[in-house]
Amino acid sequence: MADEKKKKGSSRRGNKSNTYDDGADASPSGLQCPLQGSARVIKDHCADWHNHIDKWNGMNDAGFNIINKIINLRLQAKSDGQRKVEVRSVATTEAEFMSDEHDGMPEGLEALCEQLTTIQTSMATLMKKMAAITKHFQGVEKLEQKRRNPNMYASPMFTSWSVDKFVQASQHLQDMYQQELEVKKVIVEDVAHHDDRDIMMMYASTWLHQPYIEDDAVVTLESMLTETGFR
Amino acid sequence: MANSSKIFDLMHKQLRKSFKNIESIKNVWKNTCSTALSSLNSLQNVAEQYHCILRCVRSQSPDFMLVKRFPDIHERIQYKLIQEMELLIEKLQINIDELQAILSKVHQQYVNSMAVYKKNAEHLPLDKITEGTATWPSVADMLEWLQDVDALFNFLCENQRQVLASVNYNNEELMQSLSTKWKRGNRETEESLENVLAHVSFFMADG
Repeated sequence: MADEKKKKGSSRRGNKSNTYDDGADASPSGLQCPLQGSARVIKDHCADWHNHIDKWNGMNDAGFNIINKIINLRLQAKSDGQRKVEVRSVATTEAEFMSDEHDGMPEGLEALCEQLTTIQTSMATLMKKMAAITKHFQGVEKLEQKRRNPNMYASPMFTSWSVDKFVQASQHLQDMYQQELEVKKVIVEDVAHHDDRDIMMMYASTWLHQPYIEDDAVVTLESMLTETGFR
Repeated sequence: MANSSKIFDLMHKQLRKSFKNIESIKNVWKNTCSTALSSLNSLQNVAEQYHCILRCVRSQSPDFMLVKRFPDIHERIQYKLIQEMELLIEKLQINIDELQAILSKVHQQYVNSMAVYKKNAEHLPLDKITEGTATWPSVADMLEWLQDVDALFNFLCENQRQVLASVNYNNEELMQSLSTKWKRGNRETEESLENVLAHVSFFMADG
């Protein structure tokens, strides 16, 4: 199903003339005509939402793996450090011990942090694309408002949603992902600076479970896809 | 006399069928066991995360940036974790239902064999049914084994039901001991199943 969506989403960029096949199956009224204008923009962007969220989830998993590695490194370093204290409790002076203990980060930690930062940066880029979709939707909404008779209600684009519903849905998704991105930023900045197990576990858990992506994110996305005829 | 040997044949046939069924049930049960254990491990894992977060919130360490920046984050993450635990509990509930189905089948084997015995008890003298050969166990032994297996599965089912009913997300010690409690009786059941099936292997092969 995901592959299919990707194909639909990217066909817009790949081949402009090949609009017939793409649009035909989307017409909920069963009319075999290519989608054009506002409807086409909205349908393509709904597919984009699906692809972006898919990509986001992939990055989320990759980031989680790295965070796990960071945590393991830190815990390992901590237990090694404690062992050192036991072994040479009296043998070394305090000054020597301190210099030895705080001489730097565990090996490989920096590289992992860099990887994590890269992932977070890609997520930020993706976020910009998500925000652009909402912008586009708002543009379409304005256009439709101009075209419409001001005394009439907005007519549905596909099955039942008018354009402003799409704008709302997109804005809702965008807000959730924006907030989640902020959370991830803090995690990336702070995760390597702790060696308390509970705090690190909380960071890992927060990264994985994405607390600001609420339950209705799935419903919203699925509604958009159903509305535009992808489902 | 001829009649009696015919009835013996009938009894043996039923017992053979029962043990064959039990043998096939064994693999189904093992599958159920391993899915349950993986769900339990996940549950313990999520519960551990949940308690780490509770401790983080309680300790309110001042250099914890995440909570400082997002004051409601722990509530949200706890909600997500509880949701996940609920899902896993649901899976375990399904698992217990599967075990219940297995138990009913095992029980049926005992009931069926016992029914044949009771119906023909007058033609099956005690000295005959307690007499076994080197390869064929006696009828009395085999009936007893069926009953034992039935009782073991009964225990498994009741135990797991009780473990699941005792779940309390806020009790860390309890959450971490779930899988040990859940597994209670598994090893004994497996051993005695293997044992019984080994004892009747020649008997089943001769049928």
